[in-house]
Amino acid sequence: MKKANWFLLVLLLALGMFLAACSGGDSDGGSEEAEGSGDGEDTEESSGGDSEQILNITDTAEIPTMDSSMATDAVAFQWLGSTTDGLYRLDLDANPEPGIAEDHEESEDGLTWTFNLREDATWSNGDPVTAHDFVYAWQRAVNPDTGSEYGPYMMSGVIENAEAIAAGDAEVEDLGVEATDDYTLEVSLEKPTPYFESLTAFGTFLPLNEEFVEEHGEDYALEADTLLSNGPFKFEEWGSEGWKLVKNEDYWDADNVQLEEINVDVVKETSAAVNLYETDEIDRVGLSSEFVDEYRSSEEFRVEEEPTLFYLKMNQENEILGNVNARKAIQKVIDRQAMVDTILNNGSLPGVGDIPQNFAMHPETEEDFREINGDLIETNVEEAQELWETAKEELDIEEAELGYLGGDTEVAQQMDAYIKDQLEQLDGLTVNVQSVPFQERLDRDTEMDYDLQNSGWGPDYVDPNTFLNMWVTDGGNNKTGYSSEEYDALIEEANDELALEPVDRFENFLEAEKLLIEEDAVIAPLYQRAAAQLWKPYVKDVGVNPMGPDYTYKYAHIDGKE
Amino acid sequence: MGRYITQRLVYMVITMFLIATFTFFLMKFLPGTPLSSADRLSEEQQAIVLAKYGLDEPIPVQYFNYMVNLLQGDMGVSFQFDNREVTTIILDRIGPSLQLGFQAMIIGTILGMLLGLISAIYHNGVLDYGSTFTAVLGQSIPSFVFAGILQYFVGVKLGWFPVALWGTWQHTVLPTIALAIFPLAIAARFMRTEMLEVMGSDYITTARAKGVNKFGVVFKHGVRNALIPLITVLGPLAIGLMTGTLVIENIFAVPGIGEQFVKSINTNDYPIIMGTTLFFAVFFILIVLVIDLLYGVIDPRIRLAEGE
Amino acid sequence: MENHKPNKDLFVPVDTRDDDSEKISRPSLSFWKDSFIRLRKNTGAMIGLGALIILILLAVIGPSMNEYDQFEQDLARAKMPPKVEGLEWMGMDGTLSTVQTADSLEQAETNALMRFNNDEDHIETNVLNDGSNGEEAEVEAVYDVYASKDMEGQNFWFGTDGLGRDLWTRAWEGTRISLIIAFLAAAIDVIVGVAYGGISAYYGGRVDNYMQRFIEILVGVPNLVIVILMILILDPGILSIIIALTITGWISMARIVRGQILKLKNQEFVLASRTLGAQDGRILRKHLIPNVLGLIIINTMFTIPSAIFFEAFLSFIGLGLPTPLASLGTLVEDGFQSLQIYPHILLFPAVIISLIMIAFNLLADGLRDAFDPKMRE
Repeated sequence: MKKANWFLLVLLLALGMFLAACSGGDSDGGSEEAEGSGDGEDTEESSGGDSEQILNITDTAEIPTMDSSMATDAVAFQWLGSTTDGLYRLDLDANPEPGIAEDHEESEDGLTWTFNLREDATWSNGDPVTAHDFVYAWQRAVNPDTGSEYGPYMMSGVIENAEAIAAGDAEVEDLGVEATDDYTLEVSLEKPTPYFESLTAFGTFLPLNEEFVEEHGEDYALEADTLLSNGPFKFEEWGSEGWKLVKNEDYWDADNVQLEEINVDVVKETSAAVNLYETDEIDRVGLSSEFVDEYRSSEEFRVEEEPTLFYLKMNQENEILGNVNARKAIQKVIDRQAMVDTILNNGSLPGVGDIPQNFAMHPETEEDFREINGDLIETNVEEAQELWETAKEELDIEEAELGYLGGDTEVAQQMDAYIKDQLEQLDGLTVNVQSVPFQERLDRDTEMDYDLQNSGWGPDYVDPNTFLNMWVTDGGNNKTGYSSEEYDALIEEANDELALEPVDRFENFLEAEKLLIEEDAVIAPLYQRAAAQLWKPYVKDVGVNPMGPDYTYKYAHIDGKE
Repeated sequence: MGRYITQRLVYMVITMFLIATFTFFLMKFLPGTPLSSADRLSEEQQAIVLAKYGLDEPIPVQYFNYMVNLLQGDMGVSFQFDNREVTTIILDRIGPSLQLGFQAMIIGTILGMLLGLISAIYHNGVLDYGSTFTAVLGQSIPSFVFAGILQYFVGVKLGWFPVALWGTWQHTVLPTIALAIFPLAIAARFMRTEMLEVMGSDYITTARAKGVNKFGVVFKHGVRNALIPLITVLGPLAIGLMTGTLVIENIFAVPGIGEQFVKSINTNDYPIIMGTTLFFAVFFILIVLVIDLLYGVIDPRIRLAEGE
Repeated sequence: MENHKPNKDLFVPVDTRDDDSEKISRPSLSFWKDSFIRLRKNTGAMIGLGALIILILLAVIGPSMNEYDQFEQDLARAKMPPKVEGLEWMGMDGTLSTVQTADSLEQAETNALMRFNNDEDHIETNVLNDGSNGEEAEVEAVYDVYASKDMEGQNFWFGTDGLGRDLWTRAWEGTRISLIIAFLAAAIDVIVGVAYGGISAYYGGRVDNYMQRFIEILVGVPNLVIVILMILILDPGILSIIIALTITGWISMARIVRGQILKLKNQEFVLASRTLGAQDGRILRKHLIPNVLGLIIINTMFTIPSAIFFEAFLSFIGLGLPTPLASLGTLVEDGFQSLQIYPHILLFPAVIISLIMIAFNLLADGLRDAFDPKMRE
């Protein structure tokens, strides 16, 4: 027994040393946190209390930039959207509502848009938000010296001269945007753009305070101190572990903002985030397919549909994939229902077209695009086999080997293995999976160095054009080698002659989608993504958006938290 | 001694130069583009953005520019974190990694040594088997599996410590334990072997014969002599922790340098890849140097000049 | 080793030479034999060796022990829990269970049923706490997955993964691939390391100096960085992982061999051999290498498991084998996501990794003791 005592003593001693070492280490790391959330041990109490208006959430990545000209990803657009109002902003139902603009007029030809700005909006340093801020921001975004990726992409073909400026062939001042006075902004478009209103809520089109940006130069938007806000929230802290937003008291609509604080931590592992949610540290968590099984019955479980489509891109320069029957066989052979039910298991929908469900409505009947066109693809292995046999005859081959560039989502490994298995049901087909990082896939897409590719597309504005425009001949994002005069004509007509005829335009898109998926089988849609999440019941009125910032926190409030 | 250190420092500079060169060219072979939205840009637009970062130049020119800047202490700006200085990013994130690393190293080796001691003292007893088993087990479970289990059971089920994130010292407890388990296991097993050997030597027998009690012998004569070989394994261990931090930081959402490194490789963020590699290399070489010096200090039998 | 007695008729007188008296009967044999005897006495090492043999055997024949293929998918049988007839008492009875708490007993029951899609025919519920004592009500539900899917005739010994692939088959296929990677990596390390260290130490002087400078530079390279970069540049696969592992892995072997040979090469027996006119190659092969062999074996015993660990680590950061190939690393990484919900997916590959590690460590420890002349009784 003596031995046991001695052992215990050593253990205690070790534990003592361990704790001493720990508390020694915290002096530098802990102090800054102390003011924020109190000392670790009582975090639960500090976030509790009498329904404090504090929202605690996580993000899966750091904010890459808060410079609206440079932003390219969901995280940046999210927090730009929460701190900065554009001309319009997205309301609780994801419809554009007045932001800095009170209203606007369109000219008859749809080429000139005049926005009347509110005069009570200010930046968080006290400067008024004026039309010049928009002119500066838009010019900056499209200026090739800025090195923006989204500026040229979003503005080319929309705003007058943007394309030429981005290519360095015109002066920045020629951009079709002008401040006729401090509170009137006039925008000249390249061609009528029916969805321009929803564009103005997009991150790239947010205003910038010229004086402030120039003053900070290269340091602009690198820290909480070198950022300006004109929206519902402003940054208070921003470090590598997360960031903290507080209500912007000077916001023009501050009366309607209830949330006092938003704390965001970066957590990349789903299981870590779920564990944080379980211990009441955070108020929302995204679930991976395994966790859905466990939490499906929970009252806190929610599924948010997203208009993001995933599909197989098929490189038509490949001999086999150049054959339309081979492509159709690939479209038909994949069992999408089992895929979304078992692998994704998060409420994702089987992909049956190029336009996601609940994304675009018929301008008159309000019927959903997807409803009207219906399922353009049905899984049918037998038919697929027949098509495949025809294709093999036409190509005069017995066996085929195709490379497949894997996806980069959380379920990529399983998804890739599944798709390989499904495709190999076709007699004599071998699929070689290549799992590559996202950036490499992008590169190989640009070079068209692939056979099959698991790819995704989210909308940049609320209009079918964002999904369909990319497949025109030599379209910047086409990269499948698809070229159809008929298709090109449909899209061009929709964006030119029919630009101001919403119904006919919509019809054109319907027809184009059928052509794209049903007849030419350019892509094999896989699924429309959804997000399975847990939300604490006391979080109310957070808007979920199909584009731009994922969530609208302006109207959010905490209600009934103990 | 002075001459030896100077010589080592000269080698270090040469090594750093070669590593920088090697990594630079290796990195240029990385497939993929550094642009995050390459799928939305036309090739002309991509070319314009790449030119802004100086990536349109021939690779030897890029290399030359990089080295010139590096000599002036400028490691460039990150691609993924627009405009942010690489130095700032590394300095921002090195704190948590170092803190975790040191805590794990100290706790791991101290506890490990204790376990090893217990094993040696109670050689072939129950306590020996117990602690040997613990050590072998600690060495045999992949650290991320152990971390996941810790997080779930200690963090969620028992609620003793925060499950993830960073801030107070409580937040460091679970990741530290997860990281410490490996050095603990190694130290324990090493200590046991060395102690057994030391305890078998003549001078221990002499001391015992002179009436020094068992524990006195262990602590006065045994531990000190067993420490010398232990120091040799500390270096590789410290470096091994680097591997550990990569996954542990991810699991416990610690804003450290390891997980950032993996991310920058996946996003082709060349300046960060270079910066972190060089940083790791300096750290690495310094550890090796310190260990070599320590070795000489603790064991007078070793003359540094001779080793070279 | 020839111990049989020859026929008497075969005896022919030998003319004895002077040096014959110097001959040591059974020269290095005694060392190996002695080591082997001591190894056999070491229970730990024997357990390790036994475990290793069983694991390797299973890796070879395991996949063919049932009718499932490692790539055969069926989403209808995804995430099935393990079931082994006769081992039901160990929890391998093909059921899933959950404990649901709620304010009222009814609610807890509803939740418990809903957890398994309200498939009431195959759910058994037990009330753990009816909530009457003021606490929350707790209901445990046990769900017979095999019965609910009409698969009572089938047994997935280790369960199935998210795509309905049999984990028993995949686990052993994975073990096989992991072992192949580890053995090949270790073999290359040994070959390169021994050659490099041997040459460097044996020739000494300027050769040694240059070769050591080169190693010193390599040692400064954070090998992790190089390994990751190499894997990304080469196409991911078994070969690239082996190359990446060995690109810096041989260094420690080279250093050990060099140190040992430096020590040995000035000893008398080498001098003797040299005086007798032996060539460099012969001395290296016949005298030096055999004497460092023990050390090489021990070091290899530690290299193999660390290669397996490293492969697992690579999988975890997303640089593992391309799907659908299974290795222990990819299996563990796959299971890590469902650690809390479907622990069986992680459990078996993780246990196999740990067993391999333990086995190799025990064996290596035993070998170290066995080869250590100081441990001779």
